[in-house]
Parts: sequence; structure tokens; C-alpha cells
Amino acid sequence: MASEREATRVRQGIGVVVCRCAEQVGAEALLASLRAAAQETPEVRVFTEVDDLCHRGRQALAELLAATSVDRLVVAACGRPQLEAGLTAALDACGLPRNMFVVANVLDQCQGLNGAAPAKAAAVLSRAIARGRNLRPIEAVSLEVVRRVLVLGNGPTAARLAAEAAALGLEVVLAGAEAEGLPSGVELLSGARLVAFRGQAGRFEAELEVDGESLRRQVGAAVVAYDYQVRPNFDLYGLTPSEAVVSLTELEALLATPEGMSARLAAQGLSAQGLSAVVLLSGLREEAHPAQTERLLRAALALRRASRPVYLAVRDVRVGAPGLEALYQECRRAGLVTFRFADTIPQLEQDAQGRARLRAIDEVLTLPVDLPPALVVVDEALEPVPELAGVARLMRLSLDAEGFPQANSVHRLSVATNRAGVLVVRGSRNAAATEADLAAAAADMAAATATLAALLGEEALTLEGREPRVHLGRCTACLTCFRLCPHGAIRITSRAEVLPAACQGCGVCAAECPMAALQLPGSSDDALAAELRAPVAVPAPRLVAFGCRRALEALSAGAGPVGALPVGLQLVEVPCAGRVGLTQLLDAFEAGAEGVLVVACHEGNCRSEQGSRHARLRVEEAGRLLAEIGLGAERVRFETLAPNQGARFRRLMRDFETRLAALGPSPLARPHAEGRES
Amino acid sequence: MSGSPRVLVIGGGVAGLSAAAALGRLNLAATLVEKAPTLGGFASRLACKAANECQRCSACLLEERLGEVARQGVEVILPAEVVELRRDSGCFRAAIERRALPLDPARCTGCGQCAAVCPAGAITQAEGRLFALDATGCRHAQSGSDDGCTRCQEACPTGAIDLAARPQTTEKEFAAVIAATGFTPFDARGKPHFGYGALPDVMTALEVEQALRRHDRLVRPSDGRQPARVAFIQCVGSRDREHPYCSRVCCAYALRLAEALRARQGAQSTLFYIDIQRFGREFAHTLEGLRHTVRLVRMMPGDVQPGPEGQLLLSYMDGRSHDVVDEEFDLVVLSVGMAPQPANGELASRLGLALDAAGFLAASAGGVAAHGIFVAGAATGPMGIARACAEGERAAWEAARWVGGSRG
Repeated sequence: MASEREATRVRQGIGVVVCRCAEQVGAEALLASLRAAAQETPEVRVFTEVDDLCHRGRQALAELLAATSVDRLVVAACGRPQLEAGLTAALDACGLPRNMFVVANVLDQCQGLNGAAPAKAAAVLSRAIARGRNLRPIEAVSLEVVRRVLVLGNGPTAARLAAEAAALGLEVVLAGAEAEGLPSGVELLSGARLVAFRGQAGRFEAELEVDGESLRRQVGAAVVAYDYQVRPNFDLYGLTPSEAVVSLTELEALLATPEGMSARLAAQGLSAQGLSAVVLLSGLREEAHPAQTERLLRAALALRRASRPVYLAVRDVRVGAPGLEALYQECRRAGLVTFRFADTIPQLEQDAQGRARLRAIDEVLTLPVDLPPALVVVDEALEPVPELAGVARLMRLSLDAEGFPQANSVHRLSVATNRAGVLVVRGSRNAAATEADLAAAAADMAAATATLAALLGEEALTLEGREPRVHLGRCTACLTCFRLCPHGAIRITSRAEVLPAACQGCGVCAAECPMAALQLPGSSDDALAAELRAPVAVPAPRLVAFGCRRALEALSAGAGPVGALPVGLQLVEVPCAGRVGLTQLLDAFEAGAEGVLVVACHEGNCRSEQGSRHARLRVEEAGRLLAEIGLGAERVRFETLAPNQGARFRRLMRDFETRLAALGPSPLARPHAEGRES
Repeated sequence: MSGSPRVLVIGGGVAGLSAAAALGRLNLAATLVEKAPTLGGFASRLACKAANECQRCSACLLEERLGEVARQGVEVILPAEVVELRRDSGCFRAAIERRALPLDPARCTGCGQCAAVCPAGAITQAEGRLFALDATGCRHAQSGSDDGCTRCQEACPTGAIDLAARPQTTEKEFAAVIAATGFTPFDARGKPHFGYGALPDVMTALEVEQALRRHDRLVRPSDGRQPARVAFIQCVGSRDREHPYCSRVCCAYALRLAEALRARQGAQSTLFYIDIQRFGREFAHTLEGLRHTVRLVRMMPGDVQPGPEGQLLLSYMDGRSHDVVDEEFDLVVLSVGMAPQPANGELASRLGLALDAAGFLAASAGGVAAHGIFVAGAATGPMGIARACAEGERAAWEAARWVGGSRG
């Protein structure tokens, strides 16, 4: 019965809910101010006050939706994270889309404003209502997935991953690696090469070449799982491999058999029992990895147990891994001698017989060192396999500076890449670990399997529908979006098409589209313009700060009671700073702002990779335009901030406020300075 | 087991938060027990160290996890401890004791009205918008009865203060347990020759982080002036006889802090070290850049003494001249290591876990410490934030597999 009524009732209008916690930040006048702000808007059908909205008050949201016919909620309270679960549950219960709410963080934005708090609270709520008015329902959509995974690799990591994926009940195509004893459900394509990769998470199409033949496979996800390639550093030290100069791998082979070392010494005419020294070189010309140190120290310990003199020549002893310092101490107790070279590099000479000699000045004792060892061992560099470059290009994966297909960003946590549904593990993402650090390998495997289970565990994937909508009449297929999308989410047919399972909703494309053909739900040009133009009465100077929701929430919460944010500050949430186009910057001035600021992540920290950079370039462009029309470039600023820099945010905002007050009102702001526009 | 399975996460630092959030994504109910009055652990004291560019310190990952734990509706109990845990027909029964919390951070809006009326100055601002009540200064607590001063309670508009609060113990049933109990920073007073505790301008790196986070500026505690010359002393409480391990994070945070101080306030840093440890991606490139801006001295200083004009004198053997030199600095930062929690022994015996030689929680490769018990984060040994997050997520996945398996 209830659902029938639900179906026939036409829902329309805004329900405003004020949490009484919010009332406490300012004077008693605050609530009256909020009520007045809500009543200004005819779309507001309900205005109600609730206690303790984030806890006990949650129920009130569902009751309000059940008892009235509003189709959206605007909540004046504290931060969104605390309220989101309650809001989405209430919307779900009434069959409304989950995006139909706006949170006005009155509590954090009015902290410490005292007498000015009611006016500020009213402004915050008015803007939230303006945003609420422009909400359009976003229905979640379902995408049928292909429950098959493509694993690309060359060795044991790929084989293990294939087995793990098969254990999840997924079909697996293992391409490249040789492997034995694979579970059923794994199609092994040894020697296969990826030649094309299209589509989106849940439904990719991979084209592979095996023995000159082309194969196509539909897959729901792909894991790049090549192991490292190991290269001995002979060249770096100016040495040539010989009987007396070997790589670490060769030394390990010599040590693997009881007679290995003796045979090698005998080959050089040296007595097997003699005190023939071994010199281990590591990280003298490049930065060694603890994984190398671990192997060197194990070898050193074995050599010392055979009573051979062992010298370790390094820049730094890399012991930053579990158990490694203890192993190093054990080696030292066993008689390993370490020479550290911070400022100099020892001289290495090799004679005609291939025997090497190390000459240096000891940096601590300032005494000459002259070692003519029986064996010089060079360490090895861990490099990406050459195949990775091609795979990354075909899959449109961003590379780090060392050529691994995962950007050096703290947000590419463990195995994620810039493309949804494409994962990188271990040697493919430059995550070397020592053998003793078993948890490191386990964490990558678990992260990859958990992601695959979440993506392909069910027959279909539920998508939020946050991708931009393409206005086909405007799109000219100019390729701007295709070129800029950091997530490979744009496909160009006759027009641009956004792949919903690939899109992360950052809006970099929307901000740059020269035809305004791409509009993000909840953050369209019109919605942002309406929010900027919401009539408010706050004292000048008016400042607008654009920033991503993540950062603005945390930054305003961190501001605390001791230092208030400027009363004239309007925070405008966008999915990413990269969403802020020139249009928005100029709109803000047109709407009466005297200063506009874009808060972005630090370079290298942007989830959309280039979002911050685009934002900065647009602010610079806006500055040039403002200078040209005589408004002054200093009215627009670009700042990089992390969510935990609340103190810095507060200071920057106040500095800007002071600066703007000194500049005087913007000529564009004057018509709005008194009261409200119609 | 009655109802849907629930996983107990012990510890509300980044590892525990990551585990709890990941459990939510895996559609498993989670209860997070934290012994401090707020979530976040040590990461909540760390500062963003970005200079012009992000330095990849990962401190910003905390905010995101806090948000996700709130969104996922994870049950959070704090300040609380698991005082008893026993196996009961395939699952765990835990007794969780919530300490008396006169000022509930979940209800505190940070309006400061309580602090304004407190006659003893016992209420101070904690992290962000929260306030905290110090029971040692509180007149109500000192009166020992419920009739003492209640001004703050009366002033609090949100009912966040309950001076008569008593500890509460609840019993709950869990299908699996994740222990993410973290580490304890080395107490720098254990190296008295560096003067920590005696000289105000000798700080721990953790205190520097906290100062930058709260005030966005680092000043000398003695006179409030910005330091121009900063010395970092590495391996304080690492790689010594009592701590036979590398703490793995100190070279990274010290060099990043040095760079942040240079870029933001023009301070020149000198780093005294044994070996620079590798950290982060693109390390060779990072270190090459830092070599130009941070002075690296491979020598452990002998001691730190007060200078005649408020500066600090750091004595060390100069590598070139072989003389002992006294160099002047405005501030000395001790890069304190990560030590095991002193309570690990008790926790291990309660959960039936093993400890490693240094006193951290031992685990198998998959983070399995015992049937149905998983460990994650710095409780198992020194590690940075990113790794702790990854381990928390791994533990959640392993726990979900365990719960799925044990339910058939």
C-alpha cells in the first residue's frame, strides 16, 4: 500500500532540516536567521528543527520524507561525513535517488563569528538551498560485467595472481607468463602480447597476439603483474664481468653449492683455504634498495661462516625493512667490515686478467684503503621490464619517473592506477620488498583480489551515474576531453561518449570543453552559477573559494573556534579543482565577489593527476583577463592545500580578506553591495 | 552466532580506520574500539609537508579515512579498551570497557563555552574543533563527589559534558578480530645527552609535526622566534642495543620536514645520520634534490648543550678535520623511532598471540596472528602511513574471507 501511494504521489520541493547543534555556534538569533533564509525561497515547503541529527535525530529525516511530499533535503548542521549515512538511508527508504540532498555546514563555517554568525549562517543556508534547487535526480545504473580477468605478466607473481583470481570464481586469461599447475578456469596464453585494449571497468576488450595470430578476449578487469627485471651494475662501476668480478646473483649461485666458491678461487689460481677477500659493492653510484641489502648481507654471512674476509663498500647501509638491522648486526658480529662513502666514490681498477682492485680514502679514518680481493661482487638494479612501456601506452596508464605504470601519488594506494578496473602489482608498480617482508607481498595480492572481488563479484556493477552528460548538439568531437581525461573515460565515436564505469567524475573535461557540451550532474555550469548568484546579505568583502568537497569539509572543520573564517567567504564545492573553468571564475566576479580563490591539492597529490595544474593555469588566465579589464590580477588566487592544513587555510583566507579590504570594493560588486539582488 | 557477523577492530589509527572502512565496503559490520578520546592515532598529529609540490608523506590520507568510517556507519567505541576476549563456539566474546568520558567529543561542537566558565582552566582545545577536560585540574573530579563544581556541564549547550560519567562495560560477540594497536614513539628522555626535557628548544620530530599542523609555523618553544638553523638527529631510539631495528620512517619524515621548513619559512637544516634509508617512489630523484637543500652530515652528535645566547651547541666529530666541533643551532629535532606498545605483552596474552624479538606483534605473511585474529599496521613493526593503510585493508579482506569461510 505504502509503495503504491509512493508511486502515485508527485514529490516536489525542498525540506530544510536544521540540527540544533548548529544553533549553538552563534547567538540565539541564528535559528531565526536560518528560518528567515529558508522562507525566502518558495520551493522550501518544510522547515524543521531536529536534535542530534547525526545520532538520534536520523530517524527524523525518514519521518519527514514520509510525512511530506518534498523530493530533496537541505540540511543545516555540521560536516557531511557524519550525516551522509543517515541521509542516504532516509532517501532510500522513500525511493528517492541518493544524491537528492545538500549539506550546509553551518557549524564549521560560523565557528567563532559570534555576532556575525546569524548572517553568515543564513548565507550558507541560502546558497545550499540554491544548490538544492538545481539538484537533478541521478539514478544509479547497472552495468553487466564480464566475470573474466586478464592477467599480464612474466613470472611467479602473475601465476599466483591468476590462481587467486580463479579462486574467486572468475575466469582468467593469463597472458605472457609461462606457468604450470594452474587451476582450471585459467586460459594460459604463453608468449601472448597485448596489442589493443578498449572499454571500461567491467567490460574491456583486449586484443592479444599469440604466435602471429590475433585473439580477442572480453574481460571485466586487468592486472598488470610483471616482475622486475634485474640488471647487474657492472657498467656503473666501470667493471667487466670476469672470473673475479661477478653479480650478486652469480655469487648466490656460487654459495649455493659447498664447492662453488673453492672452484671459483681455484680457477684464478688461488688457494681455496686462503684468506681470499670478497668485496661487495652496493649503492655507490645509484640508490640501493633494502631487497638488495638483504641478499648481500645473507651472502656476507655465508662467506664469513666460511671464514672469508668480507668487505661491504656502500654509500648507505639500507636496513629499512623488517629484520634487516638485526641481520646487519649479526653480520658485523660475524666480522663483516663496512666502508661507507658519503662524499667520495672508491676507485675500481681491473687488470688484464679481469681482477679488480678497490682504492679509496676511508672517510672516517682518512686512511688509504687498498683492497685486491679475490672476488668483487656488484649489486643489481631492479628495472621495469621493457613490455611495461607498451602495455602502459595501450592501456593509457600514467607512468612514474622510473617508467612504472602507476603515478607517484599517495592516492594511488597500493594497486590502483588512473584507470578503474586496471590494477598493477609488485614489480609492475615499483614495490620491491625484502624476502623477509612477507606482509608486503601479501598486501599487494590481497588488495588486488579484494578489488577484483568488489568489481566482478556479482553479475552486474552498480554505478552512481556521476559522469558528465554530453550535449550532442554542442559536441564537435574536438578531442579536448579525450586528450585531457586522466582516467581514459572518453570514447570518441561521432561525438564524445563518457564511459560511466571509467569516469571518476572529476570534471576536468567539463571545465575545458570549449562548447560547454559536457555537464556534470550536481556541478553543471548552471548549478554553479545559481549557487554563486544566491542572494545573501553578508558584510563585504565577499570572497569565493572553490575547492573539492573533500578538502573544503576538512579545512573548514579544522579552522576551529580560535580563528574564524571570513564572514564574507563563500565555499563552493566542486568534484575537483580541475572542474573550475574560466566561466566559473568570471561568474563569481559577475555575481559580486571581490576576490576568488581556487583551493587545489598540491602538485603530485591530485587524484585527477592534472586537475590542480589545469586549475592553476585557468587562474593565471583569469588573472590576465582581470588585469586587462582593470579589475586587478590580485583578485584571483590559486592556493594548494592538504585537507589537514586547516590552520594554513584560515591564515590564507584572512590574508586575502585583508588584502581585498585594502583594494576596496570591486566595481562589479557594487550593485550587490547593499542588500539583495532580485 | 546470533545476527549478522561483526568484526572487532582494536585501534583507531590509520591501520584500524582503513580496516574498518574496508570492512564496510565488504558489507561486514565493524566495531572500532579506540583507547584515546578521538580517532586518528598518531597520524592525527602529523602535518602536511608539501613544499611547492606534494612530498608524498601520506599524512593527508587520515582525513579521508575518518570520513569514510563516518560514512560507512562503523560503530565506534571510545575511549575504550578490550578488557577481555575469549573464544566461544567459533566466535569471539569481548568485554569492552568504555572509560568515563566527562566531555564527549562526538557531541562537542567546539563552541568553547565550557572553557570560558571553567574556574580551574581544566578545559583546553584539543584537535580541530574539540575540547578536552583534564581531570587532574577539574574541581568536580577533585571534590570526589557529585556535588562539586558543575559550571561547564551547565554551560554546555549540546549536553556533551557529563561530570558524573562512570565507566561502562559492554559484552559483544564478534566473528573475527583485527588488532591494529599501533606503536609508541621512543621517549627521547631515554637519551639524556641530547637534552630533551631539559632544553626547551630540543623537540621531537612528532612535536614539530604537531606544531606545523596546528599553527602552520614552527617556532622555538623558548622565545617564539622562527628558527633559522635546525639540526635533525636521526636514529634516536632506533638501531641501538635496545632497539635493534630501523624505524623506517625517520629519514623520510626528517628530510621532508627539513624541506618543508626551508620552503615555508626559510630555515636551513642539517641532518646528522648513520645511513640514509630509502623511502617513497622515485627515491633517487627525491634524494638528489634534497642533497641540494639539506646539509647531510654522517656523524652522530655527542651531546647538545645550551649556548650563551639561547642557541644550542651540538658537538660532533668533523669528518674532515677529525676535530670535535661545537656547532650552533637554533633548534634541535630528535628523529625518534617507533617502539612497540608497552601493552603488547598483555594484549598478546589476552589474544593468544606471539611477540617478535623487539616486542611487536608477530604474524604470518597474510597477517594472520591466530585463527580468526588478524594484525595490521605499526603494531607489527615500524611502518609509514601508506603501508599501514594497505595492511589495514589487507586485514579486512583476510577477516572477510575468514568470516565467509567459517560461515560456510
